[in-house]
Amino acid sequence: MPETTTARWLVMIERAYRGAVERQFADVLSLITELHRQSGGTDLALRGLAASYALTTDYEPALRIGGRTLDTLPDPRATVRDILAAGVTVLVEEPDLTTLGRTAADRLLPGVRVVEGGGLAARWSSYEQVWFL
Amino acid sequence: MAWSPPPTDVLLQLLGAPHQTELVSSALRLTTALLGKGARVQVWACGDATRLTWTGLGETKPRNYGDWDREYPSATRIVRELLTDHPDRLYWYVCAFCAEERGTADQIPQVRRRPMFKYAEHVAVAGKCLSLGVH
Repeated sequence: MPETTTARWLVMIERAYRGAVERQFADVLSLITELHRQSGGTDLALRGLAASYALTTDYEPALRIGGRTLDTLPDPRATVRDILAAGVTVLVEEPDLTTLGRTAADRLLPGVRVVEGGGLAARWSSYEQVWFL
Repeated sequence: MAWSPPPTDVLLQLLGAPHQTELVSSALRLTTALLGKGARVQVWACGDATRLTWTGLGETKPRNYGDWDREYPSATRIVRELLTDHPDRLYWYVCAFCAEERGTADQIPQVRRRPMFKYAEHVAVAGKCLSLGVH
């Protein structure tokens, strides 16, 4: 029996780190909560290097440029926490975690779900729309 | 007498576009590090990198709906402040042709527009030349 299509959207983010200084708060993650609000619910898949957005880190999002400390850079982990709190399901594929290092799975933000490699494509048909951002 | 670019230790040629990779962050970090070592630096921006110092960006980015009262400096302001902090050791040039072609001809006064057929003059007065990104 075919899987029932829901009104949910799936958003895939594969390209990470696209310009911290010039983007600041206006990075691609900042769109997700709004898409979740406008759709029938959004699931977010972080693939490739973007899977690192779902890992805890000691990195402080600040940069010294000349005499200025620019402390308004994107903070992907904080944004992913906000996204989770808004009710978005956040998914990462297991092989992407493995690529990010031996301890990556232990540093996953609470609430992020791990799916098997290639598992996302198998779920596409259950979504009303699939977006690559 | 025709104007000539002042000699520098390093020429950074910004060929890649902002908003795609961490190229701009890396370039500004590298520039800061070089200036910190006492070096003289010139940046030559081509293509969409000419937008970094475009007056149309204003002083700040648009408001953040998620943090309404927080101020976010524009790229133009960040570069301008870097330039004004180092008036005798940092120079920023934009390719005049690229700026015309990409709609960024209105540049902040701290930046000098240069015709692309003068680029070799800048290479000639630089101790080292480093290209960042792809046009």
